[in-house]
Amino acid sequence: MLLLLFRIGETWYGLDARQVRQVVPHVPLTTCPGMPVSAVGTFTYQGSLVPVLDLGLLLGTTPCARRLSTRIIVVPWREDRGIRQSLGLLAESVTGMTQAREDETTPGQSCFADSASPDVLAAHHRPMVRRLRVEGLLTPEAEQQLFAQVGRG
Amino acid sequence: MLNRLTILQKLLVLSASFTLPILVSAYFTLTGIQAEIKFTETERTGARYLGALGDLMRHVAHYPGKSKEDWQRRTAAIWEALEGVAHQKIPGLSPDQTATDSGGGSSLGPNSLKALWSRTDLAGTPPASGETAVTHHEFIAAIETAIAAVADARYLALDPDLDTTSLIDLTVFDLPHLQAQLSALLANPRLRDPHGRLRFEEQAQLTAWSALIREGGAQVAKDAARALQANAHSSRVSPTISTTLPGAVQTFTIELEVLVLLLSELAKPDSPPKDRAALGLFGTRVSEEGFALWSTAVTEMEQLLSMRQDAQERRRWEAALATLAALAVSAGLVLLIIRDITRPLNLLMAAARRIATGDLTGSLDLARRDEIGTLGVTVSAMTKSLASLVGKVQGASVQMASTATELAAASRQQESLVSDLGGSTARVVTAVSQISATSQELARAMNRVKEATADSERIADAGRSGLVEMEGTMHRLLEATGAVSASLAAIHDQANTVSAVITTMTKVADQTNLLSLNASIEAERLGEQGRGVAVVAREVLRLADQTAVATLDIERMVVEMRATVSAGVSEVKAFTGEMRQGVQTSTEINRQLSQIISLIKELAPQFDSVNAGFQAQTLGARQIRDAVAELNEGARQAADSLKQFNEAAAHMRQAAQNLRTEVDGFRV
Repeated sequence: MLLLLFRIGETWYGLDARQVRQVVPHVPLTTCPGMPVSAVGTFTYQGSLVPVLDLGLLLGTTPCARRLSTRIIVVPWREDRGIRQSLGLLAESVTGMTQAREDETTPGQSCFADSASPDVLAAHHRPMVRRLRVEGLLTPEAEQQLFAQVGRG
Repeated sequence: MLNRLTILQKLLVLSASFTLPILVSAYFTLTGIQAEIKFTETERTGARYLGALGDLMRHVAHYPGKSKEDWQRRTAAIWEALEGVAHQKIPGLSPDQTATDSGGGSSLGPNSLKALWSRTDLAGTPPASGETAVTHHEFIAAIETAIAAVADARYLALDPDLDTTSLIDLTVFDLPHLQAQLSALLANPRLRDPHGRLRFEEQAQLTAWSALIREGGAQVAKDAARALQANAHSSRVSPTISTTLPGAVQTFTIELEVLVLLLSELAKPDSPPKDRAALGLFGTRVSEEGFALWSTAVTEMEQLLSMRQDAQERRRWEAALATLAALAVSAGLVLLIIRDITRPLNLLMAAARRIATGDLTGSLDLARRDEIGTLGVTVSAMTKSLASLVGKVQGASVQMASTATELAAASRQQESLVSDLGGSTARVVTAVSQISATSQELARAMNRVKEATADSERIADAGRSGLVEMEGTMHRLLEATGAVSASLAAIHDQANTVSAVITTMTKVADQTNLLSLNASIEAERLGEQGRGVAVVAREVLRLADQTAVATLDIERMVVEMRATVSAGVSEVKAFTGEMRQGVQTSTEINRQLSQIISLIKELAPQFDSVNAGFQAQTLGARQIRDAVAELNEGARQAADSLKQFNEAAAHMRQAAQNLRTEVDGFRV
């Protein structure tokens, strides 16, 4: 299993590459009123509006800094009236990938052997990668509120 | 011993003591007069003895009488005269004294004369066998010797005095000698022989005789004239001598002249022998007249002696009477004076006794102007003042008793005050000791403050010099900072250039990374078909990652460098400002430190003065403590004195009561 690595605060997270549609640069975002706090705005991806959640606010305490390595991970969300909707996740240091076993909920020391960027890992000294599951990210109310705004938009 | 005598007895003793020398003097005067009288008596005895001897000589001289009856009568007269001579007692002249047994002088006692007379060929009795016969002439010589012995000073029979010297010369020496010579002349048998012729040497002898007799007569006349002259100048004048003696002398002298003429005629070689018959007649007459003169002279002498004795006896009586009269007068005066002294003294004594018994009412007036009178007046004044004094004392004793009670009360109060004072002084001593200790502590603290101030001054001084150095250092730093700032600006410019290159590189690496990521994701989604793509994508990703990382590092370094430089520049700016501020501040601090140092220097003498003040305070506290201790001692002594005063007051009260009792005895 290939994990896309990113960093929130001081913690490394991993996201299954199969759940990722594309990684795009941190493009300018359009903010909409009435969105949850963690939603920082929307952008147009392949002809449709995609809401972007700032994982720094959702999983951590501070919003993600604007850097070149800070990118938007576009993940497929759901089919709504034949339209494939996507969700943007803003995270820092989205530059590397790693191989991991399926049953490993918490990657151990062995994760670093296949690390695509050992220098980065060495630079951050973070031995542990938490696996993020996209399904548990949003509560139904938050999803509805988010996408309602998107839909209306 | 004198103390036991009264004044009367003392005066009597005084009088007796003055009477005693008078009596002694009178005694010696009277005994002297008595001795003179006795001596005059002796002289009269000597004169009578002389008269008797003269009588004897007259009888012996005319011994070869004309008849037998005449002879017997004359012998009896001679014997009587001898008895009369022996009857007289001359002191010192032994009756049996002979010429040989005396000490060289020629003297003969009456008994010796008697013995001698019995041995003469004229006495009618033949001398005893073995004894030589005494001639007529030798006997006359013996009588002459006896006469001379009367005036011998050894026997004090006759003492030549002013009135009797010439008479003694006449009667004792000159006239008896002349008579003896005459007697010897008349007894010469050759001259009495009317028939024989005189030999030549006999005629020469007559001439010598005649000269001797004339000379003897002249001597006698001179003696008589001297006696008369002495009598005329004497104090005691014999009334008869001037009438009897000159006549007797004149008669004797005339007769003697006749005899001398006769003798000178007889001495002529051709004188007739019958003229020698007249010699006996004239010789006898001359001898008779001589004896008459001698008798007159002796009588006069006796009379003079008698008059002398009378005068002496009269003098004795006068002396005795004068002494007695003087004694009587003095005794009378003494008695008068004694009475005059003792009478007022007795009066004074009685008055004094009255005063002694306490009776001050009487008065005393002696009416005298001597010391006793003054004493009486003084005693009267004294009595009056004593009376008033006793009156005042009677009043005062009552007042004194009450005063004594008040004094006792006051002294008790004072005693309690003094004991309070003792407690107070003890507290004061404690307080002063505390003050002293505190001031000493303060002084020590001041000393410490002073040392600290000195330290502060030193430190401030050191700080100021440090500040001065620091200021210099800051100025140098300021200059160095300027240089640093310039270097930093240069670095900043270069960093900007580097940054632009890196941005480009980063953008390329980013795009590469993104592409490779998406490629990897696509390859994964494709599964086995995308395996090769995945490998390529992974390699690209890795390269992109390395490039990105490198650029990222460079960028970060550049950014950090720029940030650092910027921060450095701003910090340098801020530092420069702070340095300037610091320099100003240090200058200000330096000024303030100088002020502090000057203030501290001004403070130092004040500390000294404060310290001296503290020391003075300590000393003063000590002196106060000493003074209070002395005060305490004084209070204690005062308490003692008060105790004594209390006792004295009690004594005084007792004395006042006694005084009152005594004074009440007086009658004023």
